[in-house]
Amino acid sequence: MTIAVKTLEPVGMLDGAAAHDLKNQVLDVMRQGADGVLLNLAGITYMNSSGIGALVSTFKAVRENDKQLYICGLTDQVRMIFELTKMDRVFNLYADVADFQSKVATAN
Amino acid sequence: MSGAAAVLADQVPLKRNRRMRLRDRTLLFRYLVVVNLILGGWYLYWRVTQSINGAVLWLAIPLLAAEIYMYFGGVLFLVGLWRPIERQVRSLGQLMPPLPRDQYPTVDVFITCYNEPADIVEQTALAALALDYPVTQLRVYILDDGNSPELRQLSERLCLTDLQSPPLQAATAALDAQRNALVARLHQVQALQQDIAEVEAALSHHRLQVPSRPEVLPEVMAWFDQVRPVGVPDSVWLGCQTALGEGFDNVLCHAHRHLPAETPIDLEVAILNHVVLLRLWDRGSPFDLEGHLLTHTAVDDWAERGRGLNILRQTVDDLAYFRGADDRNCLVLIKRYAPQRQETPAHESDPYQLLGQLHSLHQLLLLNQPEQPSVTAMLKAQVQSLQADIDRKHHQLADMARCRYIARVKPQGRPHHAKAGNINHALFSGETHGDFVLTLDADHIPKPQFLQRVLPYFFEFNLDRGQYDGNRVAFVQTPQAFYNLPPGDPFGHDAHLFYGPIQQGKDGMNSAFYTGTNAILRREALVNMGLQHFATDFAKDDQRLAEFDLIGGLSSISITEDMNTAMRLHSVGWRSVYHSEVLAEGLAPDDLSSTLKQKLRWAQGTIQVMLRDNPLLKPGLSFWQRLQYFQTMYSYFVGFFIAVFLASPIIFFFTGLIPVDSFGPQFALHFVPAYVVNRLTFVAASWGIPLRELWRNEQYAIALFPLYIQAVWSVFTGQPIKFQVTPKQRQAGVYLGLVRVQLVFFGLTLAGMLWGLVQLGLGHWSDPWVYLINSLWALYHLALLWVIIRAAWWQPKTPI
Repeated sequence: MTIAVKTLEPVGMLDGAAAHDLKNQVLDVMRQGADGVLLNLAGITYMNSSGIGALVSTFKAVRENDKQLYICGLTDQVRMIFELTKMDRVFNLYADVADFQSKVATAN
Repeated sequence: MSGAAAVLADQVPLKRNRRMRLRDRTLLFRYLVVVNLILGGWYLYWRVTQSINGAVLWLAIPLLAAEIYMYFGGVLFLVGLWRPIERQVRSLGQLMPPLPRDQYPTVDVFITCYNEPADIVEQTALAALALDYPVTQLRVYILDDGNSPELRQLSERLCLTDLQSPPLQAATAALDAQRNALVARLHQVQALQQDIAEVEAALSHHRLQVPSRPEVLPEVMAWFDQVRPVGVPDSVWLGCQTALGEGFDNVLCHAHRHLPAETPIDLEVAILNHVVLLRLWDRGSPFDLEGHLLTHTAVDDWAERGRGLNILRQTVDDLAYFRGADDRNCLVLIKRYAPQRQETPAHESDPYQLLGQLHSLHQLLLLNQPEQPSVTAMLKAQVQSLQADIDRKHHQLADMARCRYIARVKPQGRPHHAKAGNINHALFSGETHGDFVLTLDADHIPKPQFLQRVLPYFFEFNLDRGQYDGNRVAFVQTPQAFYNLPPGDPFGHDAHLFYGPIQQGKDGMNSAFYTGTNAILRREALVNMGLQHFATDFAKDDQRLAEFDLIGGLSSISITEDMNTAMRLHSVGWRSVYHSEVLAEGLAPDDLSSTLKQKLRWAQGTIQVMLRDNPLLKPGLSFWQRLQYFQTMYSYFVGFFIAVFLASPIIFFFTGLIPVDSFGPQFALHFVPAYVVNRLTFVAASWGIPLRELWRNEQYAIALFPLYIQAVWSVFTGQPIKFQVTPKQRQAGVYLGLVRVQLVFFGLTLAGMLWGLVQLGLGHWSDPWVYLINSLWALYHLALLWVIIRAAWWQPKTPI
C-alpha cells in the first residue's frame, strides 16, 4: 500500500506569519485527500522560533486528522534553530526528498 | 502629538541611553547586613549551646527550630538584597543615535480577561489603544477566557471607533497613497512589456550560439557581417573581425580543448555609435587572463602558437576575461571608433544610429542587473515584485483593525492551563505576530508612555553596523500599582518593598521576577524557551502534542505561571530587567475573601514550582539566580514557625513554662543587639518607603500564617489546586469565618495575659520580669494579628 504524500516547498523567510500561511496550505492539501505532507525546507533562507511554533501547531492539526507531517531539506540556519529549540526531537526529519522517499515511501 | 511628547520628555537628561547604578545607601545597608548576620549568628549559637530549657524540650525545640528557620530566611533575604540596582533609560523616541520611527518593532498588547465586567476591560483597552506608538505597529488583543458576548461586542465597538480615529485615518490614507503609487507604477511597467519584448526580439540576432567546431567560423563571420551598420569605418570593422576570429580560435584551442565538440559557444555583439562590444562565452575551466598577460609578455616570433592574445591586444582597445555566475567564462572585447557620418546619407545612417542608441540603453540595463538574462526577464521580475508590494499594502490596509478579540474553545475534560493557556493560545493562534508582547491584567490601565519607557532595554546600538540590534533581554517588568487603595491600605496591597528593593535586588543578580502583568516580553524568547520545554515534555509523552498551543510558550506547570516562566527564561540564558517606574495602575481586591484567594494562589503556585521545577536542581541557572528563586520558595514555609512563635507566650501564660533557660540579662545581652541591628538593616534596605506601609507588610506577613500552612499542606498532600482568578469586583460581606485561626490565637493571647495578671496578683509567680517580657511579646502579636481581623469586616466608607 502506498500513502499519498504531497510535497510543499516554501521559499524565503519563514517567520510566524509566513508559517501560519503555510499551515493553511498544509491543511488545504489534507482536505484534498493527501495522507501526509512533506515540507521541503531547502528553499528557506531564514526561520525563527515563531516560525517553528507555527510548524508545531501545524503538526498538531495534522495529527488531529490522523495524518502525517514530514520535514526535509533543513538548511544550516534552519537546522540550527531546530536544534536550539530541541525540535529535532519532535519532528520526523529527513535529509532531503530522496532520503525521505527511501525511508518512508518504500517502507509503506 | 506635542502633548504626548511633553509627557514623554525624560525628566533626567542622561549621557547615555541607559544607566545603571546601585540604590542609594547600599553600602550602609551592606555594612549593617554583615553586622546583623554576625550578631544573629552569635545569638543563635548562644541559643543552641547555652539556653535551651532542657525541662521543656517539647516547647524549646520547636522554638529553636523556628528561630533557626528565621535566621536562614533572613540570610537568604538579605543576601538577595545585596546588589539592588536602579536603572535609568532614555525613552524610545529620544535614543541617541535615534531609532527611526518606521523601524520600531511591532507590539501586541494582551489583555487577559476571565470574567471581568466590560467597563473595566474597556478602560484598559482604550488606554492600550492610546499608547504612544505608531498605530501600524501596535495591536491590542482582548484575550477573553470567559468567552463572554459582552467582551466580544466591546472589542468590535472599540475596534470600529478606533478605525475612525484621526491617527488611524491618517495611517490608512498614507497606506492608500503608497498603494496607489505602486499600482500606478505597475501599470506603467506593464505598458512597457510589449515594446520591450519587441526591442529584445529586434536585438536578438545580435546573439549566436555555435558548437565548438573550427568549420563554423565562416558562419560566425557571416553572422557578424550581417549586423554591421553603416558608419563603422572599414579598418575598424576589419579589426573587429580579426578580434572575433582570434577570440573564437582561442575558445577552440584553449578553453574547450578537452571538451566535446558539441559544447556551445555563445557570441554576443552590441554595436553602439562609438564602440563595438563583443562577448564570447565559453564553458572551460577558470583561467586567470590578467595573471597570464603579466607573466607572458614576449612571444617568440617563430612559435607556432600563442600569438592570438597578442593579436587581440593589438586589435581592440580593451579586453577582459571573467567568470560568470553560471560557470561560463566571458571574453569581453571593446573596440572604440569615430563614426563616419558624412559619407552616408542621413536617411541611411539614422536607423543605425537609433539602433546603436537602443543597444547602449539595453546594455546599460543588462549590466545593471547581471543576474537577469534579459530585459524582458527584468521587467517580469519587476512586475512580480510590484505585485507583491501591492498585495502587502492591500493586506496592511485590510489589517488596520487594532483592537481584536480572541477567545478559545475550552473542551470539557481537557486541561486548559488557566492564564498561561489563555496567553499561549493567543501566541500560537496565528492571529498575533508582534515582536513584543505586553501582558496586562484586565484592570491594569497602562500609561501612554509605557512602551516608550520599556522598549529601549531590548536594543543595543551596534557600532560596527551603525544600527540598533536586539539583545538577550527577554522581558522588562514594571511595578504593580493600584488606583483604588483605600486610606490606610487595610489589606496590605501596597508593595513598594517588593516593587522596590526586592525586585531591584533580584535585578542586580539578573533574576528580576515576571509577575504576570505590566511586563513586556520578547516573543522570540518566550516561544524559543517554550518550544524547548515542550520538546522535553513531548519526548516523554507524545500525546502532549494535543496541548501544544496551550503549553508551548508560558510555563503551565503551576498556577503561578509568571514566576516559572521567568525562571525558565533565565535558565536558557535570557536576561531580564526590572524598570522601577509605575507605568500602569490597576485594581486591588478590596475585600478579604478576594485578597486571601490571591495570596493563597501565589503561595500554592510557588510551592508547586519548587516541587516540579526546583531552582536548586534546574540546569542553566546561576548560583545567585538559584538563591533568588529559592529564597521566595523558602519564605512560604514560614507559617509553621509563626505558629510556634505565636503559641510560645500563650503557653507561658497558662503553664508558666518558658522555652529558654531564663529571660534574664544573658538573654537581653544576646537578643537585644541582634534585634536592634536587624531593625536598622531593614530600615536601611527599605529607605524611602513609609514606615506605615512596612508595618502593614509585616502585619500581613505574620497574620497570614494559616494561609501559608494551608498552601504548603495542600500542595504536599496533592490536593487538586485550581487557578482562581482574583475577583475585580468587591465581594461585600463580613469574613470572620476566614480568620478563625487568627481569632483563636488572638483570643488566647488576650486571655493568657489576663490570666497571667491574675496569677501575678495572687502571688503565684515570683518573677514579674518574665511576665512583662511575655506580655510585651504578646502585645506585639496582638498588634500583628489585629490587621487581618479588622480587615474581615472592613467596608469602604462610601459605597462604590
